Amino acid sequence: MSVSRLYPSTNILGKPSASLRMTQLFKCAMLIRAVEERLLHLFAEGKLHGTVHTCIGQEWTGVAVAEYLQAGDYVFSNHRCHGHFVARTDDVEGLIAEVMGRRTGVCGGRGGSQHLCRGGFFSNGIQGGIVPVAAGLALAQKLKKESNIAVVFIGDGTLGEGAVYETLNAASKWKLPLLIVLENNLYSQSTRQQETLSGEICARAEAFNVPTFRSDTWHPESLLGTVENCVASVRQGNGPVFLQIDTYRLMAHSKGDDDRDPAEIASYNECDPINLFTRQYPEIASEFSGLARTRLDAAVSLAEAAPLANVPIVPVDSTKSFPVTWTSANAITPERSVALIRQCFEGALESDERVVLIGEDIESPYGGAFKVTQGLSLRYPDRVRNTPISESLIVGLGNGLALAGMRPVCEIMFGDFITLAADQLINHASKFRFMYNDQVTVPLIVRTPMGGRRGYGPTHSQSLEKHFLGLPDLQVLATNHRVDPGQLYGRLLKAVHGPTLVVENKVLYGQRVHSEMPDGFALQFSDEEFPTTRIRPEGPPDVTVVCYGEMLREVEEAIIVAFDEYEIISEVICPTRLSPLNLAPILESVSQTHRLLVTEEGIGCAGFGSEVLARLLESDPTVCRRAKRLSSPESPIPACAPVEREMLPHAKSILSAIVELMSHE
Amino acid sequence: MSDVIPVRIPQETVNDDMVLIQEWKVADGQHVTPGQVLVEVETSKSVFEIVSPSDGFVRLNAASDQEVPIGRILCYIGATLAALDSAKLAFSADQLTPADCASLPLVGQHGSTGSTLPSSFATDFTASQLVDAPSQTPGSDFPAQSTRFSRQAIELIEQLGLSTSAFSGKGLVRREDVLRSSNLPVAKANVVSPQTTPPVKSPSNAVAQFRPAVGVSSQAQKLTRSKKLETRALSWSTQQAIRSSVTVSVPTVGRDQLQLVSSDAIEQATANLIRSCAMLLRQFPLLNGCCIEDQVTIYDQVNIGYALDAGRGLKVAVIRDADQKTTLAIAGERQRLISAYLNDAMLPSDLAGATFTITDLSGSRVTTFDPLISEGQAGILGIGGEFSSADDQLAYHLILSFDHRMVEGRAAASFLNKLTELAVAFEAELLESSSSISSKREARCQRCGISLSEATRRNHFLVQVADAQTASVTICTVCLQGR
Repeated sequence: MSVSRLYPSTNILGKPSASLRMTQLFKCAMLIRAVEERLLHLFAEGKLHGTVHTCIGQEWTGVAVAEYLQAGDYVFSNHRCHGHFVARTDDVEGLIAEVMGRRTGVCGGRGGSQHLCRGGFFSNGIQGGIVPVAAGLALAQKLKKESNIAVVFIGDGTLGEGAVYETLNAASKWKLPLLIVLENNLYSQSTRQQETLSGEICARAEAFNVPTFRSDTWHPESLLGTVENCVASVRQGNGPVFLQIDTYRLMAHSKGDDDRDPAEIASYNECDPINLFTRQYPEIASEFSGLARTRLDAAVSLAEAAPLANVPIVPVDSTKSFPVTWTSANAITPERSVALIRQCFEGALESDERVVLIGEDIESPYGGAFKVTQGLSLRYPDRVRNTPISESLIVGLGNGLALAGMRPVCEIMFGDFITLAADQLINHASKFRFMYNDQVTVPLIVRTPMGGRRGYGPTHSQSLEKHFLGLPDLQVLATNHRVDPGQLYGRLLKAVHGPTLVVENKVLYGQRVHSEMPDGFALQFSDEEFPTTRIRPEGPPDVTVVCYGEMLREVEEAIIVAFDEYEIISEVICPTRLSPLNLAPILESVSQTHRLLVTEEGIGCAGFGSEVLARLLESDPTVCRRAKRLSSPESPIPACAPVEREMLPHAKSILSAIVELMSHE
Repeated sequence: MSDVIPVRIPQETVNDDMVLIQEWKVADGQHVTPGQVLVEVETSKSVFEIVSPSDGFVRLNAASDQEVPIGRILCYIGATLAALDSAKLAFSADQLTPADCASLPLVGQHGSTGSTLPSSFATDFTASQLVDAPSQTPGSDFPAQSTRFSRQAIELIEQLGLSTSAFSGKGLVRREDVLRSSNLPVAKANVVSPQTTPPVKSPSNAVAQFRPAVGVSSQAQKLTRSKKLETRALSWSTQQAIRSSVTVSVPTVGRDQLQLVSSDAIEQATANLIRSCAMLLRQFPLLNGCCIEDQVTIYDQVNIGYALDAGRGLKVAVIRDADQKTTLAIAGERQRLISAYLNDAMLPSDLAGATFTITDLSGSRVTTFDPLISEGQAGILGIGGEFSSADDQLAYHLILSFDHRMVEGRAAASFLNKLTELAVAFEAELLESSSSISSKREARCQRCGISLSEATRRNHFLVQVADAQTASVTICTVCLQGR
């Protein structure tokens, strides 16, 4: 498009009848620009941390969208979010203090420039990943049957991210009240659009049957009209709308990364609406600039006087141990694990309208690959939903639902696929509470079957949970055949929890959860919220075996033979919560035995066992005289079931490991 | 057979190893048609129906509410009821395949857990023994609700003749726990290799040493090396062999009578017994061997160990190739060995290589006892002291202790009967010969050679040194005191 064509031929304020309103909006746009210019100035002065991505030249997108939003609408923005934030919240003081890393900042100085949160406004510095989260917010609005909408701002560079298309697809299919605003500033950081974008931008959304609109920031009045139509359509429940707003960033993407042609930048400066407004209405502009300056001076002074951000306080110190007390297990009626989970969800769906189950193939009649949700969609069709095969979308929707106060339960059909949703867990779920300064909770539950022994081969048999251990705020639970998984989910759904990944070993589903014990061994549970299982031998233990999940069954088999044939008495500690891990039950046992075997089904390098050993060593270097890890070799899992079975740790190899531990005395 | 079709439980879902028989739609013996619903079966996924594959009569092989493994035969369809009845036995073996066993519940005794484990493991779990749940031991760190024995503990309990019920409420019972409960010394636990679990423990554990009486002053000292060796040799009896014994009563004229026949008649009778025993071992080669674990060894030679104990420690002197020697030669060799024993001059070769042992208490008042089989052997012959039976007939006992893994009681009894015949015959021969030989040699000290009359003249006399388990030997009291 030629630059000359962008010049407005008329008054920048548009029709005379709208001029008063337009003037006020220019006041906002000029405030945004003043904020950005002040931030650049503060950066030059060395008073900012990190960097800032300014929206100078793009102010009108935020201004125009905010103009048509209502209380209760959500906005999810990206790394270039200051304009959107100020237009939506007018919280200049909170923003300045935030970017300056002050406790008075809108996120207490934790989030900084790219991670803002106030009311229903959020931003995150991850391209693409915010889109399904925004869709989750929209889904929450739809489920609550409110007329609110969600808006997500992306740039043309974000079109390279797959999560955008996963979301466009689902949002269209489900008619979510989601407005996707694409700011087309022609560059991905410094890369020209011609180098990375094929086809037409709007065509991408149209492919998903999403209505598209196009406008630009050089014609503010026209832009307002387009936005109004878009918002109205979304609010009326017609489903998502994709709005392309052509614009131009007049300053660098960040700092020192501007290789654009100065002549090109100059030409856009010429047609920039704020520059035109300043030329056409110098007195008003001067007044607005003065007001903005005064306000910013005060904001900076306030911020400079405020203390720096709090030292991060992790609510559950992952390195701290909490002593536990043990109680003997009550006899329970053996019940299939899958039925217990299903019953729990059925009850939760009945009693709590916030509970939403989403995942691939979870609706009836199929009812999920492992039949956990069978029958539930018939009774709760709105809240038990099949999704496309889009793991990032599934967990992103969950994140959005959780932010909106719902109780999402996401099913990832096979644990192996969790890698496709890793961004949602690592860069979103595990970050929100902290970087938004505890203004939000993320009661997200992600369930997934891990583990082998079914002959499903290299990509459907893995135990990948170790990659998600130690992520801030993300707790990782693993079910086993001794703990009622329904009870775990009940607790997760009832109390307010952070994001939780629940590993359900796929072998467990058809197995019965039971409390029957072999003679000579007692079953005990800790008083933790997610109890640790202890197999307490009725005699002084020689060795402690730590495991989790389905490994417990193999370990139980091994320790019986270890006693019967080798006279080795083993005590088993099987935590349900792998992360953060309470070391106390393990420490308590190893203090007696001084010998430890940690076994896990996944690959051991930098895994659960490594963590247990490291923590033990740190806690008391003398407590453990002999230790051994038993895990899978660093190899993909073969599909041939007998070979697979030999490869994964099993009762026999556990027995050998126990005997080996004992033979080194 | 072809008239009967087994109906198995199909693998309906990938996630289930077991299914629940929910409801039979047909009765046992009922006539069914192809496609007719036989039974409703519940998986973790759903309830599905199994239909009859053919026309015929049904014979149920699983009960309602029963949980059964995939692949198990659910029922049979027979063309006729008669065909079903005749084929039932043929199929019954199929009711519980080894694969089924492997997937049977392993925990507790009731289990409906369906846990699976390698089939080689399955049998291991039977080692545990159930004892009625006891009351909890107060104050214990490891309160026990049940009792479980290691295999070694069970074996020791059996060896010691204890009852498992004595351990009720002790939780996990190991070998050392059994030893402790019997006040026996506990050796440091040895972990055996995973491949083999030989029951033989280190020999130092083998012979039980009781604790001294409480409240009695005493002096303690270490066992001598020879005593330790003896302990090792005899521990075979309790640790390895499966011992059994048979006893026969052998009529005799008595030692006094034999002494009158000739001064060496008893000697000869003993030598004959050794020789007869050796020759019989050729007929009963399994008694001249040993069994270690599952391997049976038969010795090529017959080397009779003769247990000596005359106050210088129990030693087993070896008479080599005793089956090929004359009675006289054996008597001579025995004399030489006794002499060497008394002079502490036995050679290592005198003590090694016995393939069978005789322990002789004939000079004592002990009439019956329990000989212990030595290491690497299958039997031991005990000779008891003479006694008067009810009809005033003198007799002595021959006791054969044997390893039941090598021979049965019937063979052992046969061995003893033949030996008895040979002994009785030899005695008769001696008595017969005495009438033809008039010269009665005077008894002499077998050490210094002094005659009985000379010894008496010096205010000494001859004694038969024949305390427990030894061969009797005649020596003068000079030699007796002077040694």
